[in-house]
Amino acid sequence: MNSKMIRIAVVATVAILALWPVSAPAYVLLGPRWVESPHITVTDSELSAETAQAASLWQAASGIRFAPDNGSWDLQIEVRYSTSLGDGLGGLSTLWYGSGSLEMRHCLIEINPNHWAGVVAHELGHCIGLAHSDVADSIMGTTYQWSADDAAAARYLYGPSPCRTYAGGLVKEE
Amino acid sequence: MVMPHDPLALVSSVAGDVASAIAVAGVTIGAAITKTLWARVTKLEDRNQANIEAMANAGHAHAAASTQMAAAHASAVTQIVAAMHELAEEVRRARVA
Repeated sequence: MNSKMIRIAVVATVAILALWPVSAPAYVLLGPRWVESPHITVTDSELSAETAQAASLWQAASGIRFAPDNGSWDLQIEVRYSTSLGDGLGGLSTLWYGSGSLEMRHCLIEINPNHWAGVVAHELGHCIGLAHSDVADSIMGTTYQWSADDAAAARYLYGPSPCRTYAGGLVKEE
Repeated sequence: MVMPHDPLALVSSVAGDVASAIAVAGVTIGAAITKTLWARVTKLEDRNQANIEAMANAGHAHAAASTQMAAAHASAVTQIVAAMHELAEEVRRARVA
């Protein structure tokens, strides 16, 4: 192997290493996050079950903890139907947060009565601080399917879940 | 009673007896009045004592209520101050679908 071949090999190796895709997180964060467990108020009772299921998804994947409605006016997430959303819009989240501390203060989730599966979980993802993910097959992507990317995003903001999942599917709080 | 022969002495004796009777009656009536008045005074004193005690109790209750109100007021002030601290930071709004 002459010096020219060695040089070509080195250049090729450097080029391959430089262009090799580095595994970076695909999720995108909005910026603000909750510093205390927010209370969830479900104004329309028909959304209660779906909201509880969505909350359990995020709780199982990360350290975020939601508290049931206790009548408190602060630290609250409100989930309700809205008939003013367009047909192509399953839900809309409005977040209020401190400009300096980026501390989430309040979140209103408006759900289209004709919404499709996963919309509540998607909007709740916004409410905990997640933007739309580059991973299409995810709750925060376009298919609204639960994925490791969603879990990684929630864990980035709130740490790992204090729950442990057993083979039987039961989740135990430690 | 000795009946004197002298009419003047008779009148004087009767007058003395009447005066004695009046005096005895006066003392008796006076004693009764004094007793009644004394009873009334005693009753008034008891009532005054009860009133004083009632006022003292009311005063204690008022003091306790004032303490509670002061505590509630302090708590409300604390909450207001906390809310003002929160307001010191501008709150932004974002909408995402």
